[in-house]
Amino acid sequence: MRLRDINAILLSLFLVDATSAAPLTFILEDKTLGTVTEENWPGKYLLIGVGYTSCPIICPTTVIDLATTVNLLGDKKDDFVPIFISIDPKRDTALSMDEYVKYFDKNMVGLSGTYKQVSDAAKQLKATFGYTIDGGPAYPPLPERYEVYHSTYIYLYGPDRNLIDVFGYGAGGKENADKIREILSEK
Amino acid sequence: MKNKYYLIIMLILMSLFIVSLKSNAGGCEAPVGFDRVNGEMAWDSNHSVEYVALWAHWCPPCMKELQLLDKVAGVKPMNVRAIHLGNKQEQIDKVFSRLGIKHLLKEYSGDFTTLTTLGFRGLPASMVVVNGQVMYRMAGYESIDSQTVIDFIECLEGD
Repeated sequence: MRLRDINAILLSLFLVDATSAAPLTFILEDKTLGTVTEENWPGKYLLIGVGYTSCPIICPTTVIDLATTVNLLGDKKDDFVPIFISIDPKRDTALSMDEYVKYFDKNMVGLSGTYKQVSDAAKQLKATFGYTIDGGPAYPPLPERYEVYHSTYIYLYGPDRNLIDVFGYGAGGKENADKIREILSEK
Repeated sequence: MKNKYYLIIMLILMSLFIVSLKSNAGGCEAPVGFDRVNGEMAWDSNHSVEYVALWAHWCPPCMKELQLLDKVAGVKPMNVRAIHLGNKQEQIDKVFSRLGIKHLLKEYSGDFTTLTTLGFRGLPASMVVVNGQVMYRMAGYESIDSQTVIDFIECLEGD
């Protein structure tokens, strides 16, 4: 069984579990809007990824996937809000997140918050994250030097804030956009 | 007489063996972090051997690699390229000024799909291109000695 098949099975199990979950809720901070919740973009689909900006060795490109996915949706793109949430609030402020995501696309939203706010949001998404120091677990309050790890899925939520689909890391904007178009055509 | 012929044959065989080693790019030891690939991907390069790094101003490990590449470019200016992902001239200028980059040209690619087309999933994304074919790849960057890179490039040029 290939790794891709195992990944597909795990995603399917995740979706079975997630579709029985309550609608998404969160309270986070945006540079322009201030405190935001899931109600800030009424009628829009939310395409959400989590991560952080202080990568030590390699910087994942989840944000690129978010931006390119939405941009490839053509006349439907305005129905979608690509959001990147930092799970490293010690280093990433709402201001720095906004600067970071706007590099990729002016319509991207970058959010941060307190540790509790980002933890709660990650829990809602069923995203995992954590911190390590010299290979061992670390918890806030964090020192200056620590590493961050996190799950790398992209989550699609509908205007009702129910989970619609989850995309694996590295699928790429084109593959994600094709799947979304398929989903929209079935509605 | 027999020994003389035997010696000649041995010398010929040894020469052939050494030539086969040198003509195999695997005979050039790649810096730690680089993986040998099969050369199926083409890259439009200006030189027979190029170290090409894709970077972005928001990428911390990219800054470290830029500093390495600047040192290498001070010795092998034709063999190193650092290409910023995104047309962000102001940010590129700021980074070059802050890091004191002197030997690298300021190049950029406006298209992020370059990264995914090449099969990379993060930055920095580096390649060593030999005669227009990507022969080595590295995702991410920790630390490489500049002399190691210079020696590697010169070895590949000699093949």
